[in-house]
Amino acid sequence: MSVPVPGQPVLTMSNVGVCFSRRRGLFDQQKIWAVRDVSLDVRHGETLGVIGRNGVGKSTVLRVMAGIINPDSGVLKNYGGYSVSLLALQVGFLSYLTGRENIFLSGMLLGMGRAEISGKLDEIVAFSELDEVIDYPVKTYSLGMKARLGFAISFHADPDVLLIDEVLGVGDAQFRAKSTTAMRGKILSNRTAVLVSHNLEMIGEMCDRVVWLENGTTRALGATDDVLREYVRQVKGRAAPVPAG
Amino acid sequence: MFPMTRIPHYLQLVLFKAYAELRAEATRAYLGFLWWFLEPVLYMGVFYLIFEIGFRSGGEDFVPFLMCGMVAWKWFGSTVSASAGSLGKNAGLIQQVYLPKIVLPLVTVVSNTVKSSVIMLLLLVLLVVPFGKSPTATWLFIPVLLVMEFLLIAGAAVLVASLVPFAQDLRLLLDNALMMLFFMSGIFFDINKMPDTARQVLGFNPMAVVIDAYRSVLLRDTLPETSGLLIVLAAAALSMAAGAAILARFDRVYPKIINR
Repeated sequence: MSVPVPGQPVLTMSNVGVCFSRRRGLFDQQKIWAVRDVSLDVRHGETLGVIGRNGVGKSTVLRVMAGIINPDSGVLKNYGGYSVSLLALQVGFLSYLTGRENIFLSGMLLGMGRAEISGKLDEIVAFSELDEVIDYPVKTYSLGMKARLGFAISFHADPDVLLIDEVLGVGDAQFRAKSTTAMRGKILSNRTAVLVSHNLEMIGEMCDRVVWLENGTTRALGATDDVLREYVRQVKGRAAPVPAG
Repeated sequence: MFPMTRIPHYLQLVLFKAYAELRAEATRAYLGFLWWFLEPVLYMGVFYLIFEIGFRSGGEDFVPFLMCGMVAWKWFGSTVSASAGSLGKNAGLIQQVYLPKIVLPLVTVVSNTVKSSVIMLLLLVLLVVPFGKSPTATWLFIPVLLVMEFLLIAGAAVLVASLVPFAQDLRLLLDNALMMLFFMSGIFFDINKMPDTARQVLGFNPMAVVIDAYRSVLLRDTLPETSGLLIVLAAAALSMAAGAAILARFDRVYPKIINR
């Protein structure tokens, strides 16, 4: 891994397209391009926001960045083997295992080594606020407890580039506030992050730059204020009431 | 591909995930891991009842002969059949995090191997106690055969897992192919007593070779022929190479095509 220099690119996507094929019959295949032509770059230490309407391919773009799927056209370049991963909650959880065992399983799936997890174990348990319940099977947990454990594990995974799809915090009001604050702190620090959200206020507050996707293409990429202003104007224009005819 | 330095991590992951799945399975059933013992006992008990007490038609030593074949087959058959669904079962996982896909069939191989080790031990005990075989020097060759069968199973499991996601129909085909292989592996009959042509054809079936090798070591007190074992190793290496290559080539395509 090379030494990170703030402002230098970590990842670039050039003319990336992703197509899914849907089988309709024995020889009939329909191709759907979820992403057509997206170009962007992610730089060291910055937070890049991704905005756009539902179904423009924001999540697919994140999955390409995370190396989960290959682009069908265009190129993804990683400048120096940086680990890039989605903030994925409750990955690989087995409900018959205890919370503690799931920390190891899920943590290893998220790329952490066993020793690293052992080192962070107390911290993860404390963050999840599960106390002695951590040694009960996860199937006895409430949804909220499971969400807290899932968040605590993913929060401690620390990839070089963190990709977040909408979810900043989870759980009940109190834990949601705590987890959101912690995640905000992490993103606002020097961490490189990509944040997909429909919450424009949050994007405005946390992102250095924003990319606006439309129809699977890059509509705009630039400083947060400029792109958001443009986006809001366009969305408002579209939502303007049509006079009754 | 992933950097080579990550291999120890993924090996650790294979072992831990296999352990976790075994633990989860043991916790789920009322009798827990006792089932790993009970299931093979029932499985072998059925054959004992039918052939030793019921039919009495197999002749002298038929039950030990049959048990060697069934035990060796069960490890192979159940693992390969389970690994066919190993990517599909983990669809949610591979759509959220990147994993080298070869990890998933290998988890199935490891967990099934642990479960099968119980029935293996049981076979050895049964050969000695009710059937009065006394362990001979050739029994020392058993670990070699176990390793060879393990490699064969791993290769077949990886190959099957790499192909099934492309067409779920293959799964149906696989069950029938396994059944055909089952009948072609000389579990109920001795391939050495077949006509020459049949014997030559069956000699290329690695499972027939493996099963005959177990019998030769356990029942006939002779070492198996090297030529047969080379066929097993070649089949293991070929299927592993092909399966691993396909899994690597489509490593980042599977999450897109997999059906939940």
